[in-house]
Amino acid sequence: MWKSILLLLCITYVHGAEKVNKQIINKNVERSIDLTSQLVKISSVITIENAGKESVQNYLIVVESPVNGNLSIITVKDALKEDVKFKPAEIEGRKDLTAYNVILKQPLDSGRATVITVETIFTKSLVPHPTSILQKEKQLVRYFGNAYLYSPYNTKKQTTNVALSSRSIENYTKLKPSSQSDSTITYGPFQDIQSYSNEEIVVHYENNAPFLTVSRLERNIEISHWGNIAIEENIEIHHTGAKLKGPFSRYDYQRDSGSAHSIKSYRTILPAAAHSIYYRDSNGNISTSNVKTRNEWTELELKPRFPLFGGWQSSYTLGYSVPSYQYLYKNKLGEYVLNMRLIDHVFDDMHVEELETSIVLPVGVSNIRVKTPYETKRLDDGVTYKYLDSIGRTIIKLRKNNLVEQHIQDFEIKYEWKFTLLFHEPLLLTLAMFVLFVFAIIYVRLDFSLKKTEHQKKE
Amino acid sequence: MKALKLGLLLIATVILYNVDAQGKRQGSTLAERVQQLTDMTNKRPILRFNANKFREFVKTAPRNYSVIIMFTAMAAQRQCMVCRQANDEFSAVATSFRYSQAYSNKLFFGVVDFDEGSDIFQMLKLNTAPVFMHFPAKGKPKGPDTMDIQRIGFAAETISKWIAERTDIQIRVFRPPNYMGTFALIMLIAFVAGILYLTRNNLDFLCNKNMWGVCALFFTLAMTSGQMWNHIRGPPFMHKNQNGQIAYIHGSSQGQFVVETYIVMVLNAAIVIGVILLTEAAKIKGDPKRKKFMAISGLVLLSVFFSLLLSVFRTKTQGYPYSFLFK
Amino acid sequence: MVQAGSKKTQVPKLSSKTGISSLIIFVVLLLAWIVGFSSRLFAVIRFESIIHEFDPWFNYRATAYMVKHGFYNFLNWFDERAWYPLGRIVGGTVYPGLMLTSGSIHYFLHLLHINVHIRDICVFLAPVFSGLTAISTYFLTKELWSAGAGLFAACFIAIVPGYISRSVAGSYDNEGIAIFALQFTYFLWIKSVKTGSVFWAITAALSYFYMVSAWGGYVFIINLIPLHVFVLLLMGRFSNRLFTSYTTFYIIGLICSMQIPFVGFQPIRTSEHMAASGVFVLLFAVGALKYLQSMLSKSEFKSVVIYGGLIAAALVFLTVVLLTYAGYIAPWSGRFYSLWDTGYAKIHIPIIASVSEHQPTTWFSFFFDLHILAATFPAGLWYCIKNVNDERVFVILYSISAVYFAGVMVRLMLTLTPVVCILSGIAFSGLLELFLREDDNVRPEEQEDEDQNTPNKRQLYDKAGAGGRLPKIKHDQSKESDGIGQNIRSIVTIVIMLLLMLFAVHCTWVTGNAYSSPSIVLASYGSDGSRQILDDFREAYFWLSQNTADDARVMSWWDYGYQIAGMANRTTLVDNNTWNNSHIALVGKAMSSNETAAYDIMTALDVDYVLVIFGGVIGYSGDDINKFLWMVRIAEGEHPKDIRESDYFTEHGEFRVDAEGSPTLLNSLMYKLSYYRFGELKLDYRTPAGYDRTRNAVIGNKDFSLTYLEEAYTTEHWLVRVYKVKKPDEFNRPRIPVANRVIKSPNFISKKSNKRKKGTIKNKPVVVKGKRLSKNQ
Repeated sequence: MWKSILLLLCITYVHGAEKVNKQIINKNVERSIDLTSQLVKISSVITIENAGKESVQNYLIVVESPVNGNLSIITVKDALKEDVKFKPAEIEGRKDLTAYNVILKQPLDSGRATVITVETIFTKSLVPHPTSILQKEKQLVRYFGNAYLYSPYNTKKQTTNVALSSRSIENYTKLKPSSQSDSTITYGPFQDIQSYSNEEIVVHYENNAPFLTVSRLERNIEISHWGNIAIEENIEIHHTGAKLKGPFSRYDYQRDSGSAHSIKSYRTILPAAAHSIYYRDSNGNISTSNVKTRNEWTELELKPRFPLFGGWQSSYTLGYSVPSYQYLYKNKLGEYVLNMRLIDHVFDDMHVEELETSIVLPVGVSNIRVKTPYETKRLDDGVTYKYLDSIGRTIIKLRKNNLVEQHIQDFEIKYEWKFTLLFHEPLLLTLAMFVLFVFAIIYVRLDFSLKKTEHQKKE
Repeated sequence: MKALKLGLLLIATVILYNVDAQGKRQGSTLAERVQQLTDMTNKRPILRFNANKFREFVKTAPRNYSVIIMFTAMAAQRQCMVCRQANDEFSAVATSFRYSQAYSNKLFFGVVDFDEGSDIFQMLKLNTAPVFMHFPAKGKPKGPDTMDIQRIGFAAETISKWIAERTDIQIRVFRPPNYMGTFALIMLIAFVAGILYLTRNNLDFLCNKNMWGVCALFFTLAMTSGQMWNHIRGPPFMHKNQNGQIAYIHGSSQGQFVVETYIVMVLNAAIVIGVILLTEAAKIKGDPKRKKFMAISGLVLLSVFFSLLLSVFRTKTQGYPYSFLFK
Repeated sequence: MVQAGSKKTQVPKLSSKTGISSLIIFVVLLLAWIVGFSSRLFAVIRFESIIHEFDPWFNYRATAYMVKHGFYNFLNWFDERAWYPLGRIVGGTVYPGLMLTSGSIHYFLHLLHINVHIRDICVFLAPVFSGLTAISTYFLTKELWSAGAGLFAACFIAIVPGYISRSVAGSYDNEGIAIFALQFTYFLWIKSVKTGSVFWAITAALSYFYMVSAWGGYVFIINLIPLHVFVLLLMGRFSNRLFTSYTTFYIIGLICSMQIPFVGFQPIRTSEHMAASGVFVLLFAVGALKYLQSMLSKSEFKSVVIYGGLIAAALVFLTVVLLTYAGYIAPWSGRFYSLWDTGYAKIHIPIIASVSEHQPTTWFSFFFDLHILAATFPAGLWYCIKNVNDERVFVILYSISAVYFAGVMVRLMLTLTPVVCILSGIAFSGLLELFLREDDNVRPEEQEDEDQNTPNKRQLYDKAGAGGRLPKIKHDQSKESDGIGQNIRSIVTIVIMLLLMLFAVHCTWVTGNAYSSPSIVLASYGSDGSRQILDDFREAYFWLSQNTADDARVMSWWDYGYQIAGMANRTTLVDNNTWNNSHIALVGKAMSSNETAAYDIMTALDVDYVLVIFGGVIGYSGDDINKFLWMVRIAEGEHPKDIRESDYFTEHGEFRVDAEGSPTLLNSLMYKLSYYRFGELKLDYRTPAGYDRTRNAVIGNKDFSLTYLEEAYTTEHWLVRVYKVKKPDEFNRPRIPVANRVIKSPNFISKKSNKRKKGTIKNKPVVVKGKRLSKNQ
């Protein structure tokens, strides 16, 4: 509880409104918009120049309001490809914008320039058009974007490359200068762009990449100190591409004319140590799947029961176990530390709308501390009972929306636990059996019948 | 009872002859014919047609009624047993139509006997009996207007169903209640009771365990050898295929021949006897030779006949791996 | 359970210093349980832990519902997802014993926080209960003959295919637990007859109550036990023990059995139960006479017997007849009636005749299910008759009636199997007892024969020495050194062992090959032995559950109703409890009439999806085209004007789907839905396009298009095909005038109603219907 309050505090602290430092200019910006998958990945390499006198430490990044709802993750790296810290901010006068305040590693002296790379990933930004297609038609999508880097600073020079999944492009906004070479469109170079300038571009092209969305992912991690960690993921997937209209013909599908936009199967990467994997749904085991073990990971090729067309959905449960020694260790303070992924790979370029990870800690843990790689909503803990438990097990529940592959990072849970609790259940069991046998023995020895049985008569 | 029915039938025919003789003389219009048919039917549900009456009532063109005709050969010298059964069923249908609510002058039942209207048989190129034909109100009888006896048989229900198909007239068959069964049962009971009464001073044969045992064993063996299946399904006694050799054992596991069930019954019985012999051999007191003999014979019966049974079973099952003594 | 059971058997043993025998019994029973359990796991090991076939899916669904909503809500459950638009009152139309059993197990385990999914409990229920059946069979046989025979019987019933066929893991059906209840009731009944104690009678009644709650076959018990009593009376074996036990049993059993909603007042209303009450009365009469006999002189008594007897008989007969006429006593129900008049179902009830397990039994399936037991149990019967006593009379009657019923219906092989095991056990143990006699180790059976036969002696000294011989035999057996040589003995023993071994391997083979495929997952084996799993059913059902509206109504033939409800969780029109023939006939009519007529019916029933099973691609024989004739027959039974079986045959009376097939068939909805776009499919290079592997024919009607339906989904191997029924505005066709639609539903109502009241009204609606149809076709 108190954690979240603290979180709130620091957020409010962060949200002190920043004012734009006019002496910073973007000397050169090279944006590349990657539209090959269902996600929109924009990475802009910005050369920052300090045209002013005194050195500056902060640099503001702005995400324009129409798309910022779909912003999934943003990362900033410097020239050495190392992460640069940044925190959410507000720009005074422009409260509508979501801005991030990047704190450069070393202050930028006047006249000097440095390079940072800003990567942003947007989901749901590719709109299928037309929205519903026949089985044999191609899937066309439209992208609405900005030709320029949306920045509070003036920009000297910039170019924008748009990379598409295929060369079959219906049409795209022709700015001057712009060029297309087979599956990439190049805008620019542009000179001297004012701050906050926005030049909308629209690209309408064929994209048969799987538009597969995980509408809900429940990830349950159950820790047993007998040396095993059981992981189970309940996954609801949904084809968010152009809807299928008209009949689905198995005959055409088998002849494989068109229907490239349907999803037959996909790969899921599990940890290398994963064993006893199962893949099932409410009707039992799904027999169409196979496991390949690479040396540093386990690759799972999952086939849904039926091919997924636009608007179709499916759901399944994927479970496996990993040995606990890889993720659970004891630190010097004698408390247990669990390091595991908050979310794991489902398929490439995945988009998870809602994630709920719940960690079932062993019986009788105390003093639990949770550290997550990024801000998540922590629901209040639950309690569950497993095999012959008399004391409940604590469940930590974490929730987050709108995730992508870049969110696959480790969380950390510290807790204290007494080793002797391990023998709780076995003792109970033995005791019960013992009592049972004692009763049996007593029952056999005593003779409850009123009349004597024949055998005594015989003696 | 049946004799009485036949008698009535003969009398009625005689009467009918005269009626129709007059009926035929004045060449008649449709209405008249319907009228005649109706009051004939009121006399008897089934009309007997000879050649010319057949032509008059059935063949002549303007008709607004359809006729169901049974072509048969009832005469004793024809020895057509099927025809008699068919006749009973047919008359059952006709009577129940005559006395049902659906009764109308749109449908009439007739019978043509080979000995009275053999030329009709030639005319319709019939060389078998019985044949059920439906002469619709309009046009000539087509293929389905002849009832397919081979496929659906000629039980009264099927006949009425067929009629309902051809002419949209539903007939619910009322069979004249048959008291023969109950009567026989009562007789049997009375007989048994009488026997018991006569031998009331020595009833110990009722306490004869061997008799009861044999009866029970026979019953069980009959059942386990699938006699009930035979009773319900009525399979052929044995199968003789085109090139002459005879199959006693039905090839598939779904069916069986009568003789096959008898074989199985015998095998089972032999096994049972074997077991009993073995047990008795060890039980009874007496000279060792006899016991040895009993034991060995019992053993032989048991093993040999069981392995026979197993091999018969094997022939009916694909891919059954096990066998005993011989394949 | 095992422990408890065996401990009970030990009660006498420990005192009589032969703990070893009870140890043997314990071990054998435990092994029987384990073997029986594990030999039922073929399906689970080959495939997975899944519910099988059809009815189990309903039981599973009901159980899940009960576990979720509690027992009372389950009793009041009105299932609106079945029999649309009628719905089904589930609580009042099921035997809740099965659900209660697994539900309570589930509850108990969850008390211990062992969170087992209810599905797994349902899957493994029958195998677990098979062990209990073995144990109760042991006790029953022990009461009847000897502990040795009991052990044999227990081992037999643990692995005999006739019982495994209904109790493999996953076949979650009433029979699985009912056979246990059956055997246990019989054991307690025998016990109560022997001891004549009220306690045992009450336990018997309670066990009978469980049986009633579990299976409709309880009728067998409630007729067999009175028969037993009756025959005992005929044999002049009336005793106060009999009187006490039967009267107690009958009254308590009657009251208990009427607590089951589905049974309700049947026990006092229907003829199936009349025998029991008749015997009840008779028993009192005989009791009274015995009492009189003790007071009156001989001549008086004679007259009293004669007149009283006649009057009583007349009275009973008259009352029964009168009540039947007055309608207080219902006459025999159809399924029950078809047991006696064996041709009955074939003519009158196609819905019963269409079920394959209602067919009579060939000798083949007797041998298939019982193997050597089928051949040897008459021997056991023989010895029971030779050494008859009260309880053996019971087993004799049991075997004879059961063997008759098994002959009539394949599914009743199930009731035959236990008694066959008992009697064969008696035969084999009798044999081996005598032939192993010389062996040095003293066998436990002997001891038990002694202390088990002493009651017989005691109770039979007053009777003319029936069965009294048995122990005598044993004595002189042990006295005189027999004349059969040692080697003959050993040969006999070896041969019998061989036979029993054959039996064991046969059972395993049959179980593995015939009885353990969960019919919703198919497996096909390649030439190299590689196994390919055809999972089309679940594929289709899961598609339905995921990608159709939650209230979508799926029309299919009734075989698949339960599965659709269970796996796809969608509303069905008809399902496997075939309580409403006319509704089924309506679906059959829709399937067998042409597309236009079918569309009218489907709109009348507002169907959204149609599901058909089509095996032509993989050569699956159990598909809808092969069942089609039954649909036609059942439809014809209700709608003789529109559907005629003969139209679906060629002139030569054959049923064929190729070009010679009758046009009615080639244009029927079922045909079109099965073969839609199949004509273009070329399976391999040797066969032409549109070659049906099941019927081995090229289909006759190749290129046609559907007007009112569109293919919604077809599974990977085309096994299940789902079609969407277009809404009236979705196809280019003038909307049906409202007039016609109004007309359809009333005469479907009227057909339902005139099914009930036969006779005078019957013809009217039919004629009306004929007019209508001729108008708009």
